[in-house]
Amino acid sequence: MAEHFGLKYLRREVLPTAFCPGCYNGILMNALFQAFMELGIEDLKRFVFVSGIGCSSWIPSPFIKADSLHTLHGRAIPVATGVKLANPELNVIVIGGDGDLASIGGNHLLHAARRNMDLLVIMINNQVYGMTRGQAAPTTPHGMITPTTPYGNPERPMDVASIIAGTNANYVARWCISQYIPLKNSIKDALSRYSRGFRFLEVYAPCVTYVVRREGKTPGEKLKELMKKCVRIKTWREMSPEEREKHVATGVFKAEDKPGFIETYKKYIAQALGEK
Amino acid sequence: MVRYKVFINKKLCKGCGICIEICPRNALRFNGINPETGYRNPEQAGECIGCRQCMWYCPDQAIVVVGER
Ligand SMILES: Cc1ncc(C[n+]2csc(CCOP(=O)(O)OP(=O)(O)O)c2C)c(N)n1
Ligand code: SF4
Ligand code: SF4
Ligand code: SF4
Ligand SMILES: [Mg+2]
Repeated sequence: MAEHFGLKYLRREVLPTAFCPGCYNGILMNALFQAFMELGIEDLKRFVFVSGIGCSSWIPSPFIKADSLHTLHGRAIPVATGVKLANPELNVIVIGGDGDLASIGGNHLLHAARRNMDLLVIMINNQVYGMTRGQAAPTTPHGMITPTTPYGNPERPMDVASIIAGTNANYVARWCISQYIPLKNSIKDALSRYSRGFRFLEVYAPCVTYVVRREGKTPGEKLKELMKKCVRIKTWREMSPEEREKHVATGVFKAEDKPGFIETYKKYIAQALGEK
Repeated sequence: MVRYKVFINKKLCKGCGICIEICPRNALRFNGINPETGYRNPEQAGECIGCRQCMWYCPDQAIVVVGER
């Protein structure tokens, strides 16, 4: 039987994954593996994956066949920064949740982006704290009922991609999990044309168990709904405020190729040592 | 004419039904319960046009579509 393209990047002995049936985390894994395959990356020896705590943080560890560090809730980015500084030759990828990266780890995210630190950060925005059973996160839509917002979320969600686009980060994009091809292409770009500095991908992928099923929908129905709900940034900007609330703005927010922190810092060290 | 065949890896499939719902040709359907996993597994039941959507959107790397465009 023919083999799935993703299997060579996975530790077969720990499959199937621990994710709920239909969990969209697995679709992001397909897009990531297809990007590796199309870039001709045969194995992941030159890659290190760093994650925090949460369902999304389980994507690299233990499933991806590469070195990984499964750290503390919110602290993936500082650990990843340490890895990159210790061995700048490595490709360092952080994968984590909206709670992990934007809530408890929000300040680390902001300042690694400000420094244009040479990392690729993939944030799964599933709108809740999935692993702890779907409590409200800073990304939860206004009005959504969760165990911590039984009368509907009184707060409004933060637009993480736009915030990161406002820093010195080189590359920022947001895609819905229903936009498989552009998501895969964006991952490829963030590993090839824009391979230095801070690269941030927000993946809008509602938690199948605590968002999608609570809405009474199947994961397949929700995917088809997202195919209509997710529009390009330009289209979204032309919408009325009411329409905007019902849609998700997706696309590339920013694509630059400024020297990342590592390059700048190497020059700084040379200067301090009196070299020209 | 090119023919496409859809293979399901029954060890990995969790029976979520995404492939069945996403297929533009309704080429897949559930076929009983797998006693090894307790999940329903899909099977090919109609003509496949090779679009690969079931393969991309299967979260468990359980689908392979074979055949060239
Ligand atoms: C310091 C600390 N605080 C709280 C927790 C409990 N906790 C575990 S996972 C999690 C949230 C996970 O949400 P997110 O990062 O969005 O990941 P998801 O499960 O949604 O993918 C929390 C609060 C913890 N493990 N450590
Ligand atoms: S709780 Fe949500 S995010 Fe976690 S594995 Fe289940 S569906 Fe995925
Ligand atoms: S999408 Fe994958 S896991 Fe879900 S039913 Fe189809 S083959 Fe099984
Ligand atoms: S490749 Fe396309 S047409 Fe064929 S079974 Fe999959 S989704 Fe249906
Ligand atoms: Mg989350």
